Amino acid sequence: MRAILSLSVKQLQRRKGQYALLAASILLGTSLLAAGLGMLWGLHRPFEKVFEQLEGGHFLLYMDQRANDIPAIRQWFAAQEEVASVSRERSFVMQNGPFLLSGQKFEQQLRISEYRFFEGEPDPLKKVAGNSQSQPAMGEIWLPAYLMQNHQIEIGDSLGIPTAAGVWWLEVSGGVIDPHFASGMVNPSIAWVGAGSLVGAYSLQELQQIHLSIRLHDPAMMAAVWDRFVETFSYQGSKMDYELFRAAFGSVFGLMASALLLVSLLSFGLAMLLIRNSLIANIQADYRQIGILKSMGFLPKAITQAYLWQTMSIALLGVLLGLGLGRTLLPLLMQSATQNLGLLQLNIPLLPFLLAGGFSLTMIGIIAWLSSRQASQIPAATAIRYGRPPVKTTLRVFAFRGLRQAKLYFAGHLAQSRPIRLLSMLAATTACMAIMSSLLNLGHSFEGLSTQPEAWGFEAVDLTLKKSDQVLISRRHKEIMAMFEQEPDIKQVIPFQWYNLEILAQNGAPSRSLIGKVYSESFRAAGLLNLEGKHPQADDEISLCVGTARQYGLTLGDLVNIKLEGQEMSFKLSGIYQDIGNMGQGFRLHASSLLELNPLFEPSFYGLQLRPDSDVEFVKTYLGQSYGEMFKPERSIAEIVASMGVVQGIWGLVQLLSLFFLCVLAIMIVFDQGMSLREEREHVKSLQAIGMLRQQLRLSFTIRTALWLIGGIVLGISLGMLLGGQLISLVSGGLGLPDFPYRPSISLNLAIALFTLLLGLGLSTAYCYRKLPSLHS
Amino acid sequence: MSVPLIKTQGLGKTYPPANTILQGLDLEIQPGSYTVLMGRSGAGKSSLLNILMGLEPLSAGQLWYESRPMQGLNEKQWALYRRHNIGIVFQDHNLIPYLSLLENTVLAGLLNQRSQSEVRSRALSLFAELSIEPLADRLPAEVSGGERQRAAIARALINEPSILFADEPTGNLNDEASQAVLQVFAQLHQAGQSIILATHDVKSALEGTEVCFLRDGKNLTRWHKPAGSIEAQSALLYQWLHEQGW
Repeated sequence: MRAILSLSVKQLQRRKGQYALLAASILLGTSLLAAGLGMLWGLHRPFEKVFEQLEGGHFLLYMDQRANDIPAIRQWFAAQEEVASVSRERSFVMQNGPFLLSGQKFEQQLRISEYRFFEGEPDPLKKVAGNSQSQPAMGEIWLPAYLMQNHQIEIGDSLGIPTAAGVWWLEVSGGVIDPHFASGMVNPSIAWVGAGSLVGAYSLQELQQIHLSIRLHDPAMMAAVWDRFVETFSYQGSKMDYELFRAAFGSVFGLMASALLLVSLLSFGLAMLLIRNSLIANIQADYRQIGILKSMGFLPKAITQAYLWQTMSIALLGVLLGLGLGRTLLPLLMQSATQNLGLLQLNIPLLPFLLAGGFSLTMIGIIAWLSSRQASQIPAATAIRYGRPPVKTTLRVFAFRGLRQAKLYFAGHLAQSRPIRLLSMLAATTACMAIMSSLLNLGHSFEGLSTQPEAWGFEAVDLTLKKSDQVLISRRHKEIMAMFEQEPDIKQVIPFQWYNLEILAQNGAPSRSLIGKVYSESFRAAGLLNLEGKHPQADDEISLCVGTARQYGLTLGDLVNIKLEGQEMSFKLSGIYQDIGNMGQGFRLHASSLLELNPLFEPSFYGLQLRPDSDVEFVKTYLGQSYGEMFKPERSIAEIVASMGVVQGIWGLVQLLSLFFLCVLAIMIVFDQGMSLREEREHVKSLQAIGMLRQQLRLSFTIRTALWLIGGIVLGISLGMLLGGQLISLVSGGLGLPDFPYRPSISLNLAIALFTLLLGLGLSTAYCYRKLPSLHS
Repeated sequence: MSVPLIKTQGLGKTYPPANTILQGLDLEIQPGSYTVLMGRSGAGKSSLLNILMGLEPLSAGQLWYESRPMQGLNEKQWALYRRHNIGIVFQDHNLIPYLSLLENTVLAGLLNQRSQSEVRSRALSLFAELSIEPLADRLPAEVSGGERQRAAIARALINEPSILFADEPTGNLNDEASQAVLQVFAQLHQAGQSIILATHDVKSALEGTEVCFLRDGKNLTRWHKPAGSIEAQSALLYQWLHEQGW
C-alpha cells in the first residue's frame, strides 16, 4: 500500500497540470449537480418556511359580497375542525396600471386590498422595510418587497393610482412579505392600504369585492374541506389555494433546477470522458514503467490501484471544491426567492450535497477503475522490451498519401494515431455545442411569447380589452361585436370569459376548482392549438390543459365529470392543450355549452386581431378615446412575463450555463492538445531533426484540433437546432408546456459557432506555441 | 547435491501463431552459483530469461523454483515470486525516470511490507556498498550510465533475492563502467548471492562460475570454468564457444 501511495504521489506531482484540468472539470460538474439537486430539494423550503412563520391562509377566496353570504361562509369555515383560523373580510379593488411613480409610469396589475392587523388571523404581513406600524395608515400603501425591488420603489415615494375620480396619491410606507404573492409569479399581485381607505377613492359599486383567507391545521386536508364547502354553498367566486402559490413559487426554480441537473449530468459525462482519455494516455505513456513495476513484483491489482488512487485523490479534491462552489452558487441562484420572502439566509439541506458528492465519486470511481484496469493487463516483458503499446491503428481515412505538404501529412498522422480519442473529443464537442445551442435557442424562444402567443397557449391576438365593471349601463355582447365590426383596424374579434368550474373526483384524484376560458366564437379564429384532439365543438365537449388531463388520468374521448353552475354533469374530452399561463391547469369550453345553464352568460374579454398595417399602440389609444371607460386594455402576455422577470432570469441562467460549457470546451481543447504533444514528443523531435519548422508542427497540431472542433460544432449546433426543443420539453412539462415552442435562431447559432471556433483554434495554437517541445530540450 | 534453485525440464516457448523460440530445454541453477547465459542474437536468451524471471509464461515443459512447480501460477503468484525471490537488472537500467535513485530502490523495498525507515536504511547501505550514496537524491537522468546501473542493482537487491538476474547489464556501458558493474556482481557472488547473467561479452562471462550456451533455442550446453589464470580461462572459453558455433 505504501509503495502504491508513494508512486501515486509522485505521479500526481509529475502531472499536476493535467490533473489540475481534471479537477477543474470535476469541480464544474459537481458544483452544478450540487446546485441543481440543492435547488430541487430546497425548492419549496423558503416558501414553506415563510408560509408557516406567517401563518398563511391555505385558501384565498375572492367573491362579490352581493352574490355570497359572507358571514355564513366565515362561520361555516370557522366551525370546521380542520380549519385553524379565518380572516375577517377584506375589501379590494382590481386596478390596472399604469401607475405613476416620481414622474415615471409602470405597468402592473394590482389587487389593492385593505389591511388591518388582528391577532390570530391568518396572513399577518411581515414588514421588511418602512416604519414599525402594524398596518398602513390612511394615505399610505404597502407593497410586496419584490415589486419595490423590481421597480426601484423606495419608502417615502409617492405612488399614483389612476381611478375614475382622478389619480389617487399614496405614500409608500412599507415593503412587506406575503408568502402568497412573494414569488412575483402570481398575477395580479397585491398591495395593501389602510382599512377604510378605499371608500375615499372608489365608488360603492366598485367596492363590492372582498376576500377571505382560511388557514388549515394541515394543508393535506384542503381537498376534503373544499369538497364539503362546495357541497354546502353555491359559491360564486374564485379561489386560489396553497398548492397554486407553492407551485408558482417553485416553478421557475423547478425549471432552473431541472436545467441545472440536465446540464450537470452532461458535464459529468464530459468529465468522465476526460478522465478516461487522460488515464488511457497516461497508461500508454507509462507503458515501459508499468512493465518495470511488474518485474519488481507489483501485483496487477496494485498497478490498477496506483492509477485509481491518483484519479480518486484528484476527484476528491474536485468534488469537495465543487460542493463548496455549489453551496456558494445555490443561494445566489435562489437570491431572488429569499429576498422576496424576506429570508436573511437560505437554510440549505446537507443531504443533496452528500448525494451529489456520493454520486460524483461513485461515477468517477467506476470510470477510473475501468480505465485503470488496462494498466494491469499490460504484459511485462513486451512493455520492457518495446516501451510502447503495439500500434493497432485501423482507421486510415486520414492517410494523406498523395499530399506533399509535411504539415498536412503530420496532421493526418496525428488524427489517425488516436482515432478513439479523436472520436470521443468529437462526441464531447458535439454534446457541448448541442447543449449550448439548445440553451441559447431556449432564451430566444421566449421572444415568441409576443410574436407566437398561440404556441404558448394564449390567443393569437394583438390586444385584449376587458369590459369594464364600472360602467353603469354596460353594452351587450352583440352590440359590442357590432361596434368592433365597424372598426377598420380590427380584423377579427375573439370574445372570451374566464370561468370557474369544479372538476369532480375521478381516477383517484380529488375534486378541485379549476379556472378556464369560455370562448364565444370559433377556436380556430383565436389561433388556439391543441396537443391532441380538437377544440370542443358539441355542447357536451370540453378540452383540458395537459396538467389537468394528466392529473385526472384522462385521455381523448374519456368522460370528464364536472360541476358547472351548481350542476354535476359529464363532458367528453375532445382535446388536450398546453398553456404556460396557468401552469398546465385549466379548461376550454365553447359558450354554447354554458348558455343552457346560464342564459345570461356573456364574455367580458375581447381579444383583437388587428390588420397587418395597424399599429397596436395607436389602436389602443384610439379605442381608449372612442369608447372611454367601457373597456380597459389588458396587459399583453409579453408585458406580464417581462414584469415577472422570468425571461431575464432564464436568459441569465442560459448565459451562465453557456459560459460554463465554453469553459468545459476550453479545458478539453487544452487537455487534448497537451496529451497529443506528450504522446508525439518523439515524432516531433524526429520531424524537427529532418527540418520541419516549429511553425509547421504547430499548424499540424492545430489542424488536428480543428478536425474534431469543426465537426463537433457543426454536428452539435445541428443537433441543438433540431432536437433542442424535445430536450427542453422534457423539463418544461412541469410548467404546462410538454411541447415547448422552440424557435431556433440561425444568426445566434452562427455567432456562437464562429466564436467557439475562434476560441478553440486560438487556445489550441497558443497552447502549442508554449508547449511544443524543442529539439534541444 | 543440494536442491536446485531453479530447474527446468523440456522447457519450451512458442509465440502465436506458431513461432517456437525455445524447445526442450533442461537447466539447473544451484544455490550460490554464478551462471552466465550466452548465445547468438535471436537464440532465445531473453525469452529464456523472461520465463525464468516469471515475466512470461512457458508454453511447454516444467519449471521448478526450489522444488516448487511453477506451471499454472496466476499473474498474482508470479508477481509475488518476483517480489520475494528474485532481483532483476536490465540492460537499459529501467529506473523510473521521475523517482530519485534512492526512491527507485525504496519503492521496491516497500513492496515487502517492511517499514519505510528500515527500507531506507537498507537502501542507503546498498548505495554505500555500490559507491553511489552521494547520488541518492539525484534523478536517473542526472547521473552517468554506470551509476544508473549500480542504482538498478541496488533496487534488485533491496529485497534480498535468492537469485539476481542480469540481462546484458553492461551492454550500454563503457569499459570502465562495465568493469565496475562486473566487480559488484563478483563481490555479490563472493557474498553468496546466486546470479544468472545474460551477456555477449566474453570478459563478462569469465566472471561466472559456469557458462550456458543456448543455440537455436533448442540446445543448451554447459561449460564449467576451470581453475587457472584469467588468460587461460579466456582462451578455453573462446575455444569452447567457437565449438558451439558462436
